[in-house]
Amino acid sequence: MKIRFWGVRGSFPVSSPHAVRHGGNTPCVEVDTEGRIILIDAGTGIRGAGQSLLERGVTSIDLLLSHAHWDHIQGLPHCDLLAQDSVHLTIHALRQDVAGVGKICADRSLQQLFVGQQTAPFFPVPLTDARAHLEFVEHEEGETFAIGKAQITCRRLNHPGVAGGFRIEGDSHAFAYISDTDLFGELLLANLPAANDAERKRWHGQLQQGAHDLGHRADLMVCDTFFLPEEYQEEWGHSRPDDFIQLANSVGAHRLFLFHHRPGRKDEELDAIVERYQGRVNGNLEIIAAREGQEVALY
Amino acid sequence: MLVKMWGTRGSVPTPGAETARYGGNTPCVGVTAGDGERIILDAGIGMHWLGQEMLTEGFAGEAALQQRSEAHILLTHTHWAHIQGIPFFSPNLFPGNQFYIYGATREEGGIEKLLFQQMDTAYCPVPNFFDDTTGALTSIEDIDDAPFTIGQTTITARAVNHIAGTICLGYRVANKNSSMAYIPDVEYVCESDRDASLELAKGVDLLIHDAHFTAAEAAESAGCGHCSDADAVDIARRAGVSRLLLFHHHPNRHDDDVETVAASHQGEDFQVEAATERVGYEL
Repeated sequence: MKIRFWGVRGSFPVSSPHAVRHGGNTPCVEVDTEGRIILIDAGTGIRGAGQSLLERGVTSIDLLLSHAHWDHIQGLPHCDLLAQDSVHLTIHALRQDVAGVGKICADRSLQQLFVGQQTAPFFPVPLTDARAHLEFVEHEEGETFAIGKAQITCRRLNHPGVAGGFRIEGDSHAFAYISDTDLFGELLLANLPAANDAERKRWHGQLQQGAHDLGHRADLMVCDTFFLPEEYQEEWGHSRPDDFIQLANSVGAHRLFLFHHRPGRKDEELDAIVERYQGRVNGNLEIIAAREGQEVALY
Repeated sequence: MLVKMWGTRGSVPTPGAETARYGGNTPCVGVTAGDGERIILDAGIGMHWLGQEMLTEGFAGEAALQQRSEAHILLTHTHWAHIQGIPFFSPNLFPGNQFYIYGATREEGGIEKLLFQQMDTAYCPVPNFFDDTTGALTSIEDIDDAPFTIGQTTITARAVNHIAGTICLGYRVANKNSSMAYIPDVEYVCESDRDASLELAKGVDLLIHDAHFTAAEAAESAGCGHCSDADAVDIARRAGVSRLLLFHHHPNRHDDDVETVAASHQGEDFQVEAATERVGYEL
C-alpha cells in the first residue's frame, strides 16, 4: 500500500510564503492498493493528482469524499481527469440527503452537490460537459464495500452536516482517514433532533465507536488537527493533536499524520507541533505533519 | 492612491513553490485612495490576506467600533474565483465594520442572492456574514453604467465580454490625482468588444488586465472567456496607459513562464510587468 499527499491544508487554499514547504492545497490523498488507485477528497490538491494519474496512464479511479464543504470539492472542476473520455471516476460518500434539521441543510444527493458547484453564474462549465464517465455512489453509515480487492468502510464523523471518515484495508495493511471531525466535542450532525436526549446519546456512542472502528490498529492514520488546545473552538467540527493521540493509543494505531492544517499555520510552527507532541507519546506512536508531495510506502 | 495585489491567479488557487513568486491566490486588489477610502476589487481568496492586514489597521475589536471602519468591495462577476474569499474575510466578524458590496447580474434576486448561495450550509460551514447579527454590517447593491463616487473617487463600471449569459464588469477608479482600471476577465471576439476596455483604461496610470492565455493558447480557446498578453498590451497601447500589469495568470503557468511572458513586452512606451502578490504601487 502506498499513500501520497496531494493537499493537506484545511478551510481554503493557502498560497503564501509561510506554507510552501508543507503545502497550501486543500485536501486530496492518493492510496495505491491492490492494484487500484483510490483518491480521498477533491480539494485543490486533486489538480496535481489528476495530472499525475494521466501521466501514469491510470484511467479507472475511485474517489472517496468525506463531505461536500468547499475545501473538499473545489478542485474537481479544475481536474484534468474530467476532460478525458477514457476516465471512469466513481465518487463515493455517505448518503448526503439526510433531511437536515435546524441550521444545517442536508437536502441534496451527492450528484446534486457536485452539479450545484458547476452552475452558472458561479462556474462557466457545467458538470454535464465532463467527458469522463462519472458515477456517484452513496453509502450507509457503517457500510463496508469493495474496490477491487480493497475493503472500504465508511463511518459518520462529528462535523457540521454529513461528514464521513474512511478505512481502507488492502495489501495486508490498514489505512484510516479521519478528517474533518471534533472527536470528543458536542454533537454537530445535520440530522440530529435537538431535544431528543436518547437520540443524542445514541449518536454520541455511535460516533465514538465509528472512530474506533476506522482507526483500529491502523498502520497509518490521517487526522484532523486543525486546532491546538489553546485555539480550540466548539462547533467548528475540528480536533486537536491531543484528541487523536488519545484515539491512536486506544486503537493501537502506529503512525499519526497531522492533517487539515490551519491556513495561518506556518511551516516552522508545524515542525514545532510535531516536536511538542512526539516528546509526549510512547515510542510506539510516530507523529508526522502531512506534507504535500510526501509519499509513504507500507510494507 | 495605493494599489496592492493580494490575488493575481486566475480560475483556481494554485499554492506551490512554482507559483510562489507571482502568487497563487485568486483575484483581489486593494486600493487606498488619497482621502483614505478603502476599495477592494474582487473577492477571490487573496481577500483573506488583505483582511488579515486590515485587522491590524483598525478593522478589529474596539478600533472597528470607534472608527466605524468602512470598505467598498467592487465585484466584476460571481464566478467562484472572484467571490470565494468572502467567507474567509475576517473583518466580517467585527461589529463596527461596514462593508458595501457592488456588482451586477442577470439573475433574479440580484448579487445579494448569489452571495447568500455561496454561504449555503450544505457547502459552507462558516457563519453567514450577511446576517448582520454576526458582526459587520453589509449592504449589497446592484449597479449599472452610471458612475458613482466613493469619497473623492469616481467609480465607472462597464460590462465586458466574458462568458455568454454571465455579466462581467471592468472598473475604472479615478480621482483628481490618479487613476487605474481593472479588467481581469475579458475575451475580445470582435473589434467592438474592445470599446468598453478602451473607455475604462483611457489614459490611466495603471491598467490591470487579463493575460490568462498566451497568443497561441488564445487562438485555440475561443469562447473560454479570456484573452492573451498580446491583447492586454494592445489595449494598453491604444488607451495610452502609463503602466500595464498582466493579471489573471493561468493556473498551469509557472513563475518562470510568467516572467518570460512579461519580459517579451519590454520596449513599449509604457511599463509592462506581471502582477505580483503583496506588491503595492503608489500612483
